[in-house]
Amino acid sequence: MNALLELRGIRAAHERITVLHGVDLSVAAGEVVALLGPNGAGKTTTLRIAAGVHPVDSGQLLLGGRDMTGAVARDLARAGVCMIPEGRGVFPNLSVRDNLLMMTYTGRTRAEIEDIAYTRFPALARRASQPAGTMSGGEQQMLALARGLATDPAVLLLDELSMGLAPLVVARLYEQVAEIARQGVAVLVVEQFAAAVLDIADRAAVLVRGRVERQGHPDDGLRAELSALYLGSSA
Amino acid sequence: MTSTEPRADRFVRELTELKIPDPATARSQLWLRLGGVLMALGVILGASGYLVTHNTLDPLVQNDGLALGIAGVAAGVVGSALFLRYSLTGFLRFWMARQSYDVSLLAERLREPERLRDPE
Repeated sequence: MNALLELRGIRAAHERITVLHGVDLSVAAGEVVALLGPNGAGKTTTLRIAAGVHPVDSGQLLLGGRDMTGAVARDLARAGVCMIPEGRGVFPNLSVRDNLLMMTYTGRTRAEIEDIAYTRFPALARRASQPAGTMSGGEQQMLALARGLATDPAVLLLDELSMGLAPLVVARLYEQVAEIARQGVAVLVVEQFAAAVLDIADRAAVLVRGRVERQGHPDDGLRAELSALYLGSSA
Repeated sequence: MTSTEPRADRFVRELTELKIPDPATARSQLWLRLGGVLMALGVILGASGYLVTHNTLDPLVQNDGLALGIAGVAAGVVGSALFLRYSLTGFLRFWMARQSYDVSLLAERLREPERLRDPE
């Protein structure tokens, strides 16, 4: 299967400190790839590079086989790359409806966007008039996902979806992520806590100190290795 | 856009059609810095021209000073234009997004009474 998103030999730095030392990663259409690893491994930087918001020192970013290295984030977003950042990226003082209304810049009507959002996340419909910042963490994450889906993404980049959420809520959110992938979207998920995402991931890559140490199907071996080497606890 | 076309195929097709400027030729930061440098250079040249013309009675040297001053003004104008052009782009993009949001909001408010009058 051809990769929609591919990183080849990516090296990148923060200030002058190199944080990625030749990362190779690919995600095909309909595939969920989990990028795991301990804090400071370079997971978010990898995601930011895929979204075009962090410069690369060397290596290539390929989208649909086309070299897009150095392309600015707005062009990648226009092409269909959507990143949902850590911290959800919703407007806390705006209502759910207004948060969704913001996405009409994509050319879709408010009705279409609300239809997409409320069909997938019916809980949001009941909170339409509520300021997003007053909702629970899980509902805010639903809203962030709904806003992302409004862009009709081909490549979805998720950063720490589970942060601050109860395990049950995380499991439900990842069910939705799996459903999104089944519709042909390439999904790259960055997670520090592996348990939830490994249930839905087709492949997992373990990033340690800026290098992909292991990549493959999330079998028991990988789980055990993760548990022992990177997470320091039962995954 | 064809609804039957898989999203991945459409993505690849749209990418090939997308007119994305070659990142290697993206020089906006360079132009921005050049604008700043030219503005500073304009001030320096202008001040130099002033000093040169006021510190001599030789008309030939004064002419040189005048030329220096004019070059300074030209550099300042070009530099300001470049700086404004490349620094305002980002600001205007957000301003346009905000305008777009406000207009959409206004349109929704205008449609609201109709919706209340005729609920489906």
